[in-house]
Amino acid sequence: MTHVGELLGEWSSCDVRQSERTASRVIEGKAMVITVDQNELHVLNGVGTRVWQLLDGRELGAIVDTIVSEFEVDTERAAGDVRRFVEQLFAVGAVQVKARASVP
Amino acid sequence: VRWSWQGAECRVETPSGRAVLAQHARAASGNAELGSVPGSLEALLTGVAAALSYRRGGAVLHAAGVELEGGVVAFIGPSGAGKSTAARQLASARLFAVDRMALEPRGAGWLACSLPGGTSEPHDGVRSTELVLPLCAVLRVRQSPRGAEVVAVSRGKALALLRAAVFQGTRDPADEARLLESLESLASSVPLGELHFGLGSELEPVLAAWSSWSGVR
Repeated sequence: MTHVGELLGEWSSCDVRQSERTASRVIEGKAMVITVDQNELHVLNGVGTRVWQLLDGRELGAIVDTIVSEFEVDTERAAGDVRRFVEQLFAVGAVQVKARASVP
Repeated sequence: VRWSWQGAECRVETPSGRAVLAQHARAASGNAELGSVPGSLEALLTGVAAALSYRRGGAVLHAAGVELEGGVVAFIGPSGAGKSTAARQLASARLFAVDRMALEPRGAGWLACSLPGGTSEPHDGVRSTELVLPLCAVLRVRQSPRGAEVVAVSRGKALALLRAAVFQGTRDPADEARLLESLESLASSVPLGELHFGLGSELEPVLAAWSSWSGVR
């Protein structure tokens, strides 16, 4: 497992994407995400908004790389932030998660 | 209150009433069943208004409103925030809506339509005789021990405040996305701020000062 993979833990092998049960809109660089089943509104910060935009099923390691290059933070910090953020999104029902098919 | 459109047909459900609406080219028709529980009619009218307003690019807001110089100032905020208190403290204004109003775009601006419902708290001031008027401002109210002031909010905050004030009805993500788009258009065409005030604050001069720079008529 790569260094980033270790930092992301079990999330590194998951397909994580925006839930189909959400609606969102980005204004002035901040995303407003509505989870329609819970009828809850979440306003994300700048980094959170970028991660949200990237949650299209790509590997979280790739998202960490993007955050490192766009926000000039080190890999450890970015991986920790992405992991915590994805955990929060999962807890409020904003992302859908499934295990990736393992490579033989 | 729940509603959902399937093509040109909409079902509106409330705890003690339901309606089926059909949208035609320039009109809507419908059938309603209404229970006898107090408040049934107001709830069903709110649901029907929310479904039809949505279809016309608008929404129903949980808001108190006053008529001031021919337009409506809407006060939003959660229950207990001071919406009706603010409405009462504007001595020169007429009460337009106690608890809820339908908003819809019209030309470059928005119209406010008073809806029945909410607490029947006595209002000793004068009531507006109008049911539909141009919407001239939306204010999120907050009671504060300091003097009264209006604080500007960012566009993102404005959208979040408006969304929190909408009578939620749909659980369809596509409807929700269109609702956000409508509310963003509302936030960009009608001045929106936060009104901080305390009991006894004189609101007229504060609103007059705010309106002079925010572009409120």
